[in-house]
Amino acid sequence: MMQLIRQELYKTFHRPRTYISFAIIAAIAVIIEVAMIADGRTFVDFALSGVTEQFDLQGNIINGYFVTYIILQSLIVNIPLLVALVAGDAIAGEAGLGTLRLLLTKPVARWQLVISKFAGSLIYTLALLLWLAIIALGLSLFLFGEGDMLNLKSDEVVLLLKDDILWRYLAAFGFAALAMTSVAALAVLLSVFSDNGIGPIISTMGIILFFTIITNLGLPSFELVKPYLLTTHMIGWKGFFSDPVPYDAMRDSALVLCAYTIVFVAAAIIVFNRKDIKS
Amino acid sequence: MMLGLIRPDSGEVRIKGHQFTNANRHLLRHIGAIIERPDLYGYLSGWDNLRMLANLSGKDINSSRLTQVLELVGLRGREKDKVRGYSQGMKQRLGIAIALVHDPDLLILDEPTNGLDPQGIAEMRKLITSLSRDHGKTVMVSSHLLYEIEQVASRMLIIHKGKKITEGTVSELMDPDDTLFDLQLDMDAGLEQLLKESTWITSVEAMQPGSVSCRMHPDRMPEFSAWLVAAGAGIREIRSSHSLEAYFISLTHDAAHSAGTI
Amino acid sequence: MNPFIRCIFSFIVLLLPFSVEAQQLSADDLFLKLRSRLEGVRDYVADVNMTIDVSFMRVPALKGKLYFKHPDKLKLERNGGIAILPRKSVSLTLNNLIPSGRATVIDAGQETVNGIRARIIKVIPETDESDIVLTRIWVDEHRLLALRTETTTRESGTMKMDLRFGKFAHLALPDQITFFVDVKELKLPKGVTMDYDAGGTDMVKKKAAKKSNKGTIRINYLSYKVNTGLSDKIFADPVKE
Repeated sequence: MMQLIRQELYKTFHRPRTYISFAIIAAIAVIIEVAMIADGRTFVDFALSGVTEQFDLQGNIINGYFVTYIILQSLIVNIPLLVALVAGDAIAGEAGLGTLRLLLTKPVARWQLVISKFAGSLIYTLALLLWLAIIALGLSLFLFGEGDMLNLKSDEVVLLLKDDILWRYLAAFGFAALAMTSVAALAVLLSVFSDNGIGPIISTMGIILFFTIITNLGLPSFELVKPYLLTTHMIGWKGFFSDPVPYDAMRDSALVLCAYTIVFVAAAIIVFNRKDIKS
Repeated sequence: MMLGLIRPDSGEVRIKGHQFTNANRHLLRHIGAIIERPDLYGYLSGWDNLRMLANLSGKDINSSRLTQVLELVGLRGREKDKVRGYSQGMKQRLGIAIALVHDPDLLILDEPTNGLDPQGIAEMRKLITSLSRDHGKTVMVSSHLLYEIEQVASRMLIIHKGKKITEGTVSELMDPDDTLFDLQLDMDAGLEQLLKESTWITSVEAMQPGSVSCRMHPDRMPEFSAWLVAAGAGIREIRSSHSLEAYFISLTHDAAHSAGTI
Repeated sequence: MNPFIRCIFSFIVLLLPFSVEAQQLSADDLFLKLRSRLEGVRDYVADVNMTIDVSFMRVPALKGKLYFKHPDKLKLERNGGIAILPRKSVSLTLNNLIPSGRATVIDAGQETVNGIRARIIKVIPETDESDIVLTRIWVDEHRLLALRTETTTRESGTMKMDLRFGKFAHLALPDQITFFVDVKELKLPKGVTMDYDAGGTDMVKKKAAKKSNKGTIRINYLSYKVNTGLSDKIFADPVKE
């Protein structure tokens, strides 16, 4: 199994496509950082106008923690796509190449193949998030320094004190890793059904986008389904930036994410086991 | 189905006496295969492809074995290049290398000469024969190039529309009495007449100025050719063919008939 | 007249005005005395601890240095950290609530503020220049301190604040000020913020809290350094530019 996983990683990191994801993340993060350097005030004034109408805000608002939050906010929809880019291609891409057939003529169990693909996607995802942490948090702190962080939510503003923030980010990245794991699992599952790489990638993206809209649209009729949606719980990392941190809700979200992940992977194994490989 | 890619609707596959199921996949280490076309990771080098698949074969393969196999298929020197730059023939050969690398007892080759130039086809033929004869391997070749099969195969299985029609050695399957001979000769009208009046005529299928086609057991040919020479014919060429192709066509035609599908 | 009686009479006559004064200042005079006392403080730097209790803000207690310079410069310095002050804080400095220039001052009764008997005076500036239309001041006559003010302005509505005095009463500086603010609800579309919905009891609590649109900001003063001659540069705020 380790052999399989090692090979998966070798394959993934030898493809130019993989590095596109890292480049995209860097590009988005850097663009936002540059924008904040050039004209952060305008953005802050606009975003916080509801508050500044009634209160005076002074001090280092545009600091590393604040900018990082903005970057993460911008990437909420993008990261799942980048995860799907590799995970969705995992099995379907090889089917398209024809190499899946080749792999399956080897004395390797099918479930091992699925798990190794999932594990490979997982490690890639973690690498991606690590990269994000460096280029968003690391670079922002370097450029903008530390400071108290303002978190603007839909119905309140939260102020977090400077020394109380770093642990939140580390925890948030951890939670995000869990969320992206479930996305990877979904992508791998869809990958089993297809014999070309593009289909599962787009399907995964479509599903995530669709349910993101339902989660965020706020229509009363959606409230019923919301707790069951993957996308509702994926955003759990934001809970770390609340005061107080809703640990109960987040623990539940984490469990839901785990459940989804397990279901997706199990389904992938079951379907793949029964599948006839014709291409 | 034999390799576990497709599930049989009924029946079972046995490898080396053991039933082959999902639980028994380790049996696959006795088999090496190319299916339809060699499927390779174009963005990796030939060496990488070979090494990765060797590592999955269920046996321990070291680098020298890899080199040996590359040598055998004639790819030594090109293994570091990315596969997407390989010609069709090179890919085919790499596919064979991958099938061979773990020294399986059984080789399954699906259209192994696909895309090869005449020299490549000849080399493939030599390789297959040597694998069987010199290395004691069983090679299962699936091909529509009947001429090649004739030259190489010891046993034959004919499948038509997913059903087995017949199985046996090449010589068993084709009636030697029915061997077709094509003779190119100098023959004058007098000789033609002589032939028509002789008992040989029953074997003659067609007669044209300069050539005679007949069907007979090869054991009788020396006699026939001696008679022709004695009758004054100048023999330029005697060609025989088992005509597997004709055999195949007639067989499948019959099968279709009996299955009532025509 | 008897010289003795004349003596006593004049003594009584002389005594009368003093006792009247000791008894009751005119509203006008009270106001002027209060104001001049406050104007004795030209600037200060105070170590403060600020808590904000507003429905749509979750802010922990903020520690920092509060700088003040007469008449209306105010800044909270938190080592680069973020400071939140009520918008009209500039005009919330005590001094501005107590108008300069001529004003009409009227007695408006008495009331107990936080357990202390206070005399209410209404101050109406005579000029139209200042933003202030009317200020009510609850004055602790005995100590000559303003315990509460309620100021109605032209542009910025009504502001109310309570002051408590303790250690620094002799400086006429409070050790606690509470601002009472009216706040509007904050509402941003969820589709924009993509909030994490912690759901359940959280929502119920929030709905209850939203009902109130009044908030308080409380500043506790831990120490003062008064009249040290602060320069204007301290108040130049890059954020404000």
